[in-house]
This record gives sequence, structure tokens and C-alpha cells, in this order.
Amino acid sequence: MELLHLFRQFECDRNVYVGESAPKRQEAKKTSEAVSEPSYEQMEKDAKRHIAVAEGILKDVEDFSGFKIDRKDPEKVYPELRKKPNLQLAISRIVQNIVDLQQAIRKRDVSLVKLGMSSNTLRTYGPEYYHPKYGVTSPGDPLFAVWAPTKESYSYAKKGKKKEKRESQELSPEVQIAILAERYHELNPKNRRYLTSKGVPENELKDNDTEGKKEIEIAKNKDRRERSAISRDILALVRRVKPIKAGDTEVYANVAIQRSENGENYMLVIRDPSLPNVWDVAYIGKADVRNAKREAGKKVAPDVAANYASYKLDETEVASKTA
Amino acid sequence: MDEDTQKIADLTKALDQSIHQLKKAYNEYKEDADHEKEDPEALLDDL
Repeated sequence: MELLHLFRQFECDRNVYVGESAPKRQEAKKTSEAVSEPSYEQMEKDAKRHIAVAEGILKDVEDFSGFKIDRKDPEKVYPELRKKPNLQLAISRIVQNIVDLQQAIRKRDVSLVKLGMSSNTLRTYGPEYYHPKYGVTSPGDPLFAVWAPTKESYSYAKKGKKKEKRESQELSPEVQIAILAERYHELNPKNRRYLTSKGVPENELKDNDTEGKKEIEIAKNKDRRERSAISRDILALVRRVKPIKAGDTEVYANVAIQRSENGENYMLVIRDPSLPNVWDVAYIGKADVRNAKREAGKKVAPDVAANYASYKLDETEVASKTA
Repeated sequence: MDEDTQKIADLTKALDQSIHQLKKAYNEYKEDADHEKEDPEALLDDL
């Protein structure tokens, strides 16, 4: 019996299980690590206990000497201690230690909150089950004991989630459409001033500067592609608010959208929110690709825009939609 | 052990050392103050 005990002790000390399968050895290693390393909860408790002890001594010093120690300023010099450099140094050092330790504890809690904001896994399992390095763990897992956060950090994570929800609700689809509409107009190649990598404006390019012309064409194409993506994003937002039936038109503060009779294509009239009299027309759809290429980005004068009778884009309607 | 936890462990260790230093310096300070009470002339040195 004694021999068996010594044998097991040997295995435990060296993280080996003689005669066992590899998974069991792995499991033994995990258990051994969990036993040898204190949990985060224990460490945090220990850190807070040390802070409390240090605070107690600082209070004693204050009571005895009659001056107040600034807990936020480790570099503060106390005239009362001008003949006691050791005490001055010890106070500075301990205040610095307390500040650093409190920051480290807070930082760890905050990183957990950030984790909660970004990870779907964390939302599913809760912060106490997820660690960036160890992944999803459960209370039965030895690794869980190594890093498990405190209840306090869990409550931070919950607050973080609430905040995220509120923020995402703040931007209504109408506001998002307005932002996208403004960006759509900003990227109109006709409104932009393009420069080559050498700083030459497009209108000052020489005929033989093929390199410069190529650069500007690439930049314009990039803007066109982004505008095309924006028009699709606007359509997606509008459809999220209310699906458009074939042949119908929906009017928002900055955008009017008409769906074709066959339901395959959409035509968007996008108003520049910062320049209410400027409109652009964009086409989205399989059959109108050629038209889209030709028409997208075309600036439409207000009277021309008004000719799109089906859009009913008179100011009163726009105003009522805005309200 | 992740980086943040390791930092907390290291800082706790440093705080532990600082506590010992502060205790020592405080005791010296108290002893000196007690001696000064016994010897009022020593107070004049502080002026």
C-alpha cells in the first residue's frame, strides 16, 4: 500500500501516468496544473487582502503623525517627513503598488467586458465559461478553476451587454440611410477631385501621362464600387423597415425607392442630406446592369427629379416622413 | 495563467514587500517620536 502511494506521488510530481493512455495522461496534466496554480478568484482575493492590510498601516501612520496621505498621488512629498526619508519612500512605494494593483484588477475585469461585447460564444455561454486562451470551459473543468472570474466582473459584463443593446438601438434605419446617402454623394466621381500619386490633379494631366490616368481611373472605379455597395446597403435597410411590393414605391426622408413591375429591379433616387436639392439615381437589378452603369452617379436636377412622378417626392411628403 | 492574472500575482508580491518596508519605516518613525517626547531638546532640531 505504501509503495503504491509513493508510486502515485511520483506520477503526480512528474505529470506522468505510467501505463495509462495518452488522453488520461493529458487529463492528469490538466488536473495537476489546476492544483498547482491558484485560481484567479483566489489571487484576486489575496491581492485585495494585501491592499486592505496596506491601507490599515497607512491609516495608522496618518493617525499617529496627524497628516493625510494622498492615495492617488504616489509622488507626493510630505513636509512632515523631510527628516524621515525611509518613511517617505515607503509611503510612495506602497501607494504606487496599490494604484497599480487596483488598475490591474480593473483592467482584467474590463478585458472580460470587451470579450463579452465581441464574442458570440461568450453571449451564448456567459463570461464565466469563456476564456480567450482556454476557450469554453465549465465549472467541472480543471482549467475553469484556474481562471474563473469573480461575480463582480460578471456583473460588469452584464452591464456592458445592456449598453451595447442601447447603442445599437440609437441609430434608426432612417438615420443610417441618411448617413449612407451623404456618403453616396461624397463618393460621386463628378464631385471629387482626384490626384495622382505625384500630386497632379486630374484636369492638369498631360496627354502622355498614361500612368497618372491609370491611377485616377483606378481611384474612380474604387469609388464607383463603393457607391454601388452603398446603394445595396440602403436598399437592404429600406427592405428591413418594410418590404416593397412589385410596382410599389417607398419614400423616406432622403431616399425614394421604386420596385419594378416584375419585381426584379429597384430604382433609387438618393438625396444628399447636406444639399437637399441634389439627387442621384441608382439602379439595382439583374436586367438593368447596363442602365445602372450608365445612370448610376448621374446628378439629377430638382426639376428632373420631380419628373419621376411615381416617386411623389414633393417637399410636403418628405417633411411628413422626416417628422 | 494569462498575462493579466500573472501581472496581478506579481504586483501582489511587490505589495507584500512594500508592506514590510512600510511597517519597518513606521516602527522606526514611532520609536524616534517616542524618544523625542522623552528628550524635548531633540524637537528643536526639527525647527
